[in-house]
Amino acid sequence: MAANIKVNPNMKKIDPNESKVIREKIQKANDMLKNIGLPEDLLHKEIAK
Amino acid sequence: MSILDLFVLDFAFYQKTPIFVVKFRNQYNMLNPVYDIEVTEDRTQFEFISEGNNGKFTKVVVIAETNYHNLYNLSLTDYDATTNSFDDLSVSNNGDTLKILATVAQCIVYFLEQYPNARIYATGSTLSRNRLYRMGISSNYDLIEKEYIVLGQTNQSWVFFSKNTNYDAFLITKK
Repeated sequence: MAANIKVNPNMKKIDPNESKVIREKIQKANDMLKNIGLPEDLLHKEIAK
Repeated sequence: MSILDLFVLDFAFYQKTPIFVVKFRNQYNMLNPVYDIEVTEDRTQFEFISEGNNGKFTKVVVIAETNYHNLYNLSLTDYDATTNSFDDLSVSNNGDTLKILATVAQCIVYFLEQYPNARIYATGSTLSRNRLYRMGISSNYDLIEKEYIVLGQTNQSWVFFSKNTNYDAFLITKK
């Protein structure tokens, strides 16, 4: 079901660096991707289908 | 499509006890309705209100850049306006898990429409949340795979998403 998505110009944008929770999640993603790398081969394989 | 494809088995909490629920797919073949969403002008941060058994909770989806080009991390957190803080471990038991998942899926679709070359990396804050994400993707995978590539991360490697496998993280991008 399509959502009603409304752009709110007054919505306060969160600076990820100011939120410990969000900053840690981004850091976790960076660390994980550094360890296992990006799945370029799989993505190219799928796109080439 | 068989008659069984019209239904899906879900679980929810009733008075803190997990129960199984049979849900019926609507005419859009989506399992759940979604919440109204507000988004920032740059279409990277979304907000909606979860309404359920235990009241109203503000949910925030932040899709933020990582160190990798065109790769964004998705965070789903509860926002507490009184303390101006975020919590990704709170359990509201609001009985609307699949509605929340469906709403987050809409945020992803919307974001990828704005940033078609982007890739979204998402991981749950706990193993059980990762299972929930997997269930949410699995429930709609027949639709999702037509337009999106979904990969799962397991055992330090990436594989194509499979409905019955648990993953440590997910990567989603447009085909």
